[in-house]
Amino acid sequence: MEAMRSMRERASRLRIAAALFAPWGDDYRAAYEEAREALGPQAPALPTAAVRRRLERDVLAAGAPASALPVESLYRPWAAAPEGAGGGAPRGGAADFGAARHLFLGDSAQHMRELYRRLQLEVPPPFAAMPDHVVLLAETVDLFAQAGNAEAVAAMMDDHFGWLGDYRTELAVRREALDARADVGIPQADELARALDHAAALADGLVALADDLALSVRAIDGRWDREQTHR
Amino acid sequence: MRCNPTRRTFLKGTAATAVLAAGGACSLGAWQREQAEAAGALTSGPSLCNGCSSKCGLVATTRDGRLWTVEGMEEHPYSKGTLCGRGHGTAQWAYSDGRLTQPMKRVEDGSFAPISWDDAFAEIGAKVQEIVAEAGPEALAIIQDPRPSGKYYSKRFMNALGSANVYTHAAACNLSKESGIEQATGAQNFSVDFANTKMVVFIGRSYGDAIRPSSVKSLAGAAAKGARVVIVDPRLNNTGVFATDWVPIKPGTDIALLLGIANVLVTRDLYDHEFVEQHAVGFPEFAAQVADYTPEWAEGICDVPAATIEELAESLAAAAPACAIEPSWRAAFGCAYQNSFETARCVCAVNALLGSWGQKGGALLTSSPKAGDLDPAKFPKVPAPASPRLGDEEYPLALSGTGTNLAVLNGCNDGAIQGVFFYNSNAVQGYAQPAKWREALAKAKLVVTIDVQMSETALESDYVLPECTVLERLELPEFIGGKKHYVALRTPVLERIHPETKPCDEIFAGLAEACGVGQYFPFTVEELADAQLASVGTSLDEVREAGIVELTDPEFAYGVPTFKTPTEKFQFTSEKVGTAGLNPVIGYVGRLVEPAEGEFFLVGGKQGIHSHTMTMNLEALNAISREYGLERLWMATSDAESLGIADGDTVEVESSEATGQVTVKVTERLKPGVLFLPTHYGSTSPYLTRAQGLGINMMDFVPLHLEPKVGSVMSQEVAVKVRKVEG
Repeated sequence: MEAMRSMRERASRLRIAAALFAPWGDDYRAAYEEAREALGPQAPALPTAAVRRRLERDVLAAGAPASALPVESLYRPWAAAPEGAGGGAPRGGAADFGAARHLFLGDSAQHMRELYRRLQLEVPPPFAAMPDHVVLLAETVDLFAQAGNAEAVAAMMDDHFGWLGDYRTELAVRREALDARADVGIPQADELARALDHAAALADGLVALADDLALSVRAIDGRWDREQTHR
Repeated sequence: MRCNPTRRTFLKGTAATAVLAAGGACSLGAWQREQAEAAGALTSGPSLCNGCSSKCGLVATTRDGRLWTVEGMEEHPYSKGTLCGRGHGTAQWAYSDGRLTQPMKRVEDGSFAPISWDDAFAEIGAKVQEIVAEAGPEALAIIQDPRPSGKYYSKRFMNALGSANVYTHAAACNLSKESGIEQATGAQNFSVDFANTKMVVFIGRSYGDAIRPSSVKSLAGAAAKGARVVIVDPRLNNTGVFATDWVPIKPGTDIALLLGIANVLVTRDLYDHEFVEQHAVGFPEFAAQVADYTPEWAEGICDVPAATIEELAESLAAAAPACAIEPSWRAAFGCAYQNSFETARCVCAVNALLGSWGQKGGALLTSSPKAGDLDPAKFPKVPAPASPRLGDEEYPLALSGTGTNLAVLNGCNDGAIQGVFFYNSNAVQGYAQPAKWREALAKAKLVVTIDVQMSETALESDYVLPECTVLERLELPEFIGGKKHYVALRTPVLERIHPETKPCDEIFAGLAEACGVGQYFPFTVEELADAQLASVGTSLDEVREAGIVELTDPEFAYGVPTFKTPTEKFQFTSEKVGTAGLNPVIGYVGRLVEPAEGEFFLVGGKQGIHSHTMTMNLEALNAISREYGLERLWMATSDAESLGIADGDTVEVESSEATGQVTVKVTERLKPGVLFLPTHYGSTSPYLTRAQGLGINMMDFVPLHLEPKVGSVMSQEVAVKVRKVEG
């Protein structure tokens, strides 16, 4: 019972932390307040409005100067389906983009779409291309946790959170790239740098909370020998 | 989207507790195994590639709604079952993280912020109406790189506003070449009958590096049959695998080579008398001029030995009429030099002397289909704008269908143009000196770009409107000419991936409504496409199903064509050229810029996996460039040795306009004194995170100057210095 309660708490905290990667606009303070209440000293510092604005526009947006979206498909091989599989091999064989990354709607997104279908959940239009956005992944984990389905929580953590380390690396790469080209056409580059630093702090927090949740799930039933998810 | 802070969840619907609590969720691995074993819903749909302007037919197959393969459409005359590297790479755009996914507006601090479509349309509409009220509709302009829907909607939109200022990218592509061909033949282009040719001479053009799998196949077929294939180019380009000869030539002097060949044909009486006497005008004046253009004279200009020029002429004469000088595209005389227009006329003149026009194995003029008249009740006619297009008077030889887009640059500078729209065009980076474009656009009151990514042009805009990618949209029919006529179109193979992107027909209709001319867009693209197709005897359903439909046989036949010139004959002399202030008789014009001692010619060209500045941010294509160092500047081995430069060194390139550093490729495949720079690199948009900073952009180095009377950009009229960067 204690382990189950612990799992539910950790899943809720993960969801709240992940929600900070959503586009809040001018209402972002309320999201950070909720995080502060739920996470205590682990909560991220409240950014200035300017930094939060740059985070949402130039980091957490596709096609942006420091674009680093927390969307699983972008950090995984796009498709794993083997060549010619699936009844009537198409001309040309396997998906052309099998190994490519940085593409939306890869296998992880398709899998999440199937899960949402089974759970009768709909992805809101702004996330249509990103059903595997960390906001939605964490929310799904939380739904399973609150329903007491530790197996499903473990499966989700194992399948859909292992990329957070790569995401953290991507943020670091963007930060280095910004430093290298700060003189090339980016208004208030220092502000963008702070936005990237803040994103990194959010990502670090998320990684820690995901690890925490994975450990708590392991404690419920030793059948699942899950490794820490962020490695 | 803004999140509601009182509702901390995003997924909609209420998953039943029982479902959530029931057993294990299907793991990713289990789901992948299920997918592999399941039949999967495979669906195929036709489209036209957007990797370049060829628009080769393709078939895209999806599996359960996700892109599975793209392949060249077998029946399409440009692909013939094959897609080039661009075609495969650009299919990634649909899923790329580098796409724009919502409309953007430049805000006070210079950055871009999201804006809703409704607000974007309203604000743009208000500014357009303000410009029209203050300066008239002629202060508005649009520049577009033609695509099936884009070319229709952009023209209709601008004309509906009352402006004639509709331009294509041609001034930075093939304007000079097509204008020159038009003055000589009445057509804007021609093709070589590769199936039957005995000899073909390429001036700068490289099928192996750019455009159309079918062209490569045709050339391969000709080479396999033993045709002589001559590449005239400072660089041994990748068409060299099919060539029998490489003629290294001084850049911008192809015209001298051609006139030297003409001299031999005329003075040694090797030309086709019947053609010249029955089907041409102006030959006596041309012959009188060409008498001076001896092979020795030509050698002094183009650095090709006189003996080579003589041998080429004699071989062409022997092969005639089953031979031709190939028309090229952009390469050596599309827009490159002060003499590009005249070079194109010379190409046509040599083909005329050879009697190859319309002959088996020669230079063919074919026809193109087009849509018939449509019901004006459903598709209202747009009144013709009152004022002429800006630039037409100063550049009377520019094609009526394209104009010169550099008139917009100049117009922004002098205030004649105050509002500019760009569709599928990265003018700032590719059409002329980028600094000059930026300077000009900064003076405009309104700049709007419609694109899939934040290009350099988008970066200079007030509003950027994201189009959905080709595989997500239906477009108007594309009519395809040649010996046979076809029609094909782009159909949506994928569901819209990003909901806040739109196809250009919806964007232009929305803009028109906001600008007060919505009454000219009372139809959907489906309705218009169906009507256009009905006018040529088919339907939207038929073309969707078949992918491509063959139209009424134009009944092509070999034989001297009807030249649609004012004289109805081939024109060795053109009245219009004379009226424009140039020599009416096809003759010699030199290049403008001559490198001084220690300077180099600089030429550019395409690579087989890229198109101009469009493709460099695509992950797969960018990765290939980086893997193979494709951004490198080519330098001849002897030049490198004399400068102490080794393969892989970093060099600084300097012109009157810019300096830049790039890695060098030292090669024997280049004429000494010449540098070759692939023209896809040097992006400066921080939004194009993969492209930015890789290599250098040729246009940065070229001064802004326009070809007289034509208005092309003279993209290779530049001399540069090079030095090794130490350390």
